[in-house]
Amino acid sequence: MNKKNDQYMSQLPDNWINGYFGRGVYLILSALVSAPIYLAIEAYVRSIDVHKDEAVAAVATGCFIAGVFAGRYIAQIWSAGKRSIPNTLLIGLIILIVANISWLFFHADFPLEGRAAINLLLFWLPFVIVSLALGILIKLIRTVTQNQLQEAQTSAANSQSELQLLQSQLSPHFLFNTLNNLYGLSISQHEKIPPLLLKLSDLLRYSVYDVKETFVPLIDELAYINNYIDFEKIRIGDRLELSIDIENVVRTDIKIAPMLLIVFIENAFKHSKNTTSEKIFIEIALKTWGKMILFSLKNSYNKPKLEPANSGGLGLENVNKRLALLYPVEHVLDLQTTDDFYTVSLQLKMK
Amino acid sequence: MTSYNCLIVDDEPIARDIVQTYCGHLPNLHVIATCGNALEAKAIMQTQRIDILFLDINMPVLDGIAFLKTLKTQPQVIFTTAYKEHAVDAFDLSACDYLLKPFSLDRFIVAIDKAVEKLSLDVINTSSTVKKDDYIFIRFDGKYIKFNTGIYFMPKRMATIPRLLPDKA
Repeated sequence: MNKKNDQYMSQLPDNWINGYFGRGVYLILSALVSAPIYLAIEAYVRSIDVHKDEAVAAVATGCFIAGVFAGRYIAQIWSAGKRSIPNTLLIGLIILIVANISWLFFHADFPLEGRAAINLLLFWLPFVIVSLALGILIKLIRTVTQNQLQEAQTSAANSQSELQLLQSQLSPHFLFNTLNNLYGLSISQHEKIPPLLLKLSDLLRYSVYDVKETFVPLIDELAYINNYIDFEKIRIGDRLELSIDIENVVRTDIKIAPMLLIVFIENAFKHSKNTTSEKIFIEIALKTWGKMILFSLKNSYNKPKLEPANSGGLGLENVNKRLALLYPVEHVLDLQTTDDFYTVSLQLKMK
Repeated sequence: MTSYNCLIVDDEPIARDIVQTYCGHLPNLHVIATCGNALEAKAIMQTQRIDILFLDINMPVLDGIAFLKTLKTQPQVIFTTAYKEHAVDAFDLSACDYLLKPFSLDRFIVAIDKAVEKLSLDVINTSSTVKKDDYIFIRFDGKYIKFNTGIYFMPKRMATIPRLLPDKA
């Protein structure tokens, strides 16, 4: 955002000549528009029977362009540092321009008889006002659109950083407990360690590097989920009764938001572990169907007696926000709780 | 050599195995049982005397800290956890030591030494064999404090000792 501001500030004049004419492209633009303006003024001047109409039209065109630049300069000084420009001001300027142009034509048809000096004033004054007002109007409209553009960019940047915040990361508790399990295995069953270390590196690599993308291949996310489940199996041991039915996705063009499904899986393990019952039941299923990814999950749990039943925790709240940001009207999430089981069903559109 | 009864409470089987293996290296430690949650541990502690308790914090239903609060007579508690955040709570409950998983055998032995030291203090505390006019030296805060058993009542908890002393001994 600061960078944007710097760019914006650098457009402000460092000396008045630069400030007056702005960028060089404006001079080229004004050379281009001066031709039709010249023709229009020449036609106007000829209609009121002025001698040397070509010379007068040329001077008037020059004055007009200078007036536009002067108006632009005034607006630039006035609007510097102003965040918003009132719409009424813009409308007022448009009305002023239209009124003055109308007056010029009206006055051309009905000049005051025999009063040359006043007639001249009644021509030149509206003419100068039109050119100044046009310059101001152009500059202000440009400022308004620039401000709007900047706001849009800022809010886009905000929602991007919000997304990153909402994104679930590998929890340090999971990591340290897993390291402890690997440590334990390395003492008693060291032959199991090498493949597990490779899996842990994959897990870390994915959660550190790959999740920076907004969408990742589903195949990668599923590999992460499978690795995660393998480590949870080791952590829980015999208590776990797990049934997994994850489709073997081979297409690499199916994409999904990273670390989204894993939040549900983490929750399932966390809540189903939190019982004293002999066994933990978890069912995980994932299918692709047409343009949809279908995910469902069921886990045993003890209904908390003290907490409110719908307290899904921060993770779930973040998932909801992410779904709303990334899959607006492209997802269906259904959470159900019974006395002994918690079920999640999520349908997502493939990206 | 005095033998100490130990109880291991952790919901992860491998974590329990590690502590059990470590205890096996020290002949004076006798592992009574290992349990996967605090409620099982509570049941065991009602039937047996436990000297040293290895306690995980994040456990199903009743966590380690809450469990410790339910105990009337506390054994020497050594927390074993991956959670650094709870250290302050743990020491508030006068935990003996706090081991961050994964921990080495060396670090484990340091924790056991602390527990044994405290336990032997408790033995002096509770035994009636100390004669009148005997002196007891207690290491406290790096210094030795001399107690004349004939004058001072021996407090159960170390934390109350400084308040009972007249001035620096």
